[in-house]
Amino acid sequence: MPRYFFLPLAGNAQDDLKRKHHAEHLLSSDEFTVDLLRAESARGERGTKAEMAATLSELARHDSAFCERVALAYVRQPKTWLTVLHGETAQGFRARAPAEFITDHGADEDCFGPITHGSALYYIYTRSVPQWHSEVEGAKPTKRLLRWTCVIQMTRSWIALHWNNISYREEKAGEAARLDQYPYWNEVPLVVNLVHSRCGAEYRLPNLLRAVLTGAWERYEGKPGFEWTHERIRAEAHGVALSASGKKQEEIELDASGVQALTRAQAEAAVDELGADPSNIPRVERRLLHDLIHRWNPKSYQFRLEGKPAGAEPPVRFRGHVYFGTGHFQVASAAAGQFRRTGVDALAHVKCFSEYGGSTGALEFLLPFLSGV
Amino acid sequence: MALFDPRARLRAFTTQDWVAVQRVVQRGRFTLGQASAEHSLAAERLLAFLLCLEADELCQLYHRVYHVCEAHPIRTVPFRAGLPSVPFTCPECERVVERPDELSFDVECRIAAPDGVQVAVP
Repeated sequence: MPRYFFLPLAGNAQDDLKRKHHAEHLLSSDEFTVDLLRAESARGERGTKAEMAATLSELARHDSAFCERVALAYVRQPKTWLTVLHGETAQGFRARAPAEFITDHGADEDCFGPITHGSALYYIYTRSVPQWHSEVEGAKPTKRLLRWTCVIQMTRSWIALHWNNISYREEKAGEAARLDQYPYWNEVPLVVNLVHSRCGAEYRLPNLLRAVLTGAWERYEGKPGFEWTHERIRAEAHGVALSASGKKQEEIELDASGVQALTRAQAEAAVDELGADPSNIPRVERRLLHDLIHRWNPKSYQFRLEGKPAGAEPPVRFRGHVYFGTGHFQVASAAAGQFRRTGVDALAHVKCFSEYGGSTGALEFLLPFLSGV
Repeated sequence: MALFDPRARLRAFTTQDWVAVQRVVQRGRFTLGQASAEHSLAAERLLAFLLCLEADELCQLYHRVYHVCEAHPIRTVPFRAGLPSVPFTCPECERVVERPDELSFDVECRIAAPDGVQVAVP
């Protein structure tokens, strides 16, 4: 699927052509799913994604109500990344018309909305990321535009930020730039600042350590009817860094996955060394696992949970890589004595999985454990 | 247990901040990065608290210095020694660290009072 890599029309092109040109490019990019385009197409319409994007962009040329409907479908489409901040918001703010998100690339930093759906207001925050690009090696590069997009879901007591990340090349003089993950951890605080400056509300980052390792853990881990799988952990204690994942579980050949494979092997070794009854292995393993996850200062932790509560409650399904926002610091301004967290561990957030409902599914699972944090 | 009373020095602290620091000092050894996230306390505030604790000789503070080459610290130095000046040779990757932005740091606190610290709160 092509990524959003926009080449604007010349400045003197007609406005409606510019709108169509942007809409066609956006709708055919990987920001939009085929299912979403099909749902917005006329009944029975079929064809490739590019054909549907071409047809729909013709509508986008003049019909702003249509564009607003597509923008609503876009904000509700689950994304890969999520964070939730608590803060009381009395009312929303005005920004650019939501329809223009579909028909215009936007300024360096831009915001579209609100789009109202149920009791929530949605805004779309965009950052333009210029890239110099040569179609053919050695040819004169042209300026193309990437766009980092973050959906702000606003309710009275919290805001959720949902985004897909993009790859980009950081442009450094004299260096061959490699394709890299866009540093969203620097952008998310800007999104929060924007909402704060427009609404006047103070927002607090989520305490995901408490939500996941206390709230969700106590409710579901080891409980009958629920399967909680420890998939990956990055931790650091006493100056020792640990990174364990389930990727090599086949090599270890244990009836456990991921992090559990490690603690099972340790428990077996410990019980064997002490000459203790092997029936103690599960108990020792569980103690080691608990210590590793809770006391080794986890930086991030990935787990999967599936189960069905008793009674009429719906099944519980969650899979996510939870970053706790415990990262190190860098000096931001030596003169002012300011420092800030750096890198992916700067921000408490979750990488979500589409087969588990993406960011909207993860939000639904986490919210009960985040309230009052 | 040693009683620690920083109230006059930390007037900006909210009730929530005081609750958080009482919990933080229950661990004998912790880092600024972890404890601030775990207890939902701004890192700047927790560092201010830790500097008061150190001034009263109730803890020792260290800088843990990280280089981009590794996930574990490349050196741990007393807090007041400060971060290393560049350039220097990284003991892990043996490359010359030329820019400060290749480094990051955390602050480690080791409570010195043998029976722990009790924080006097407003």
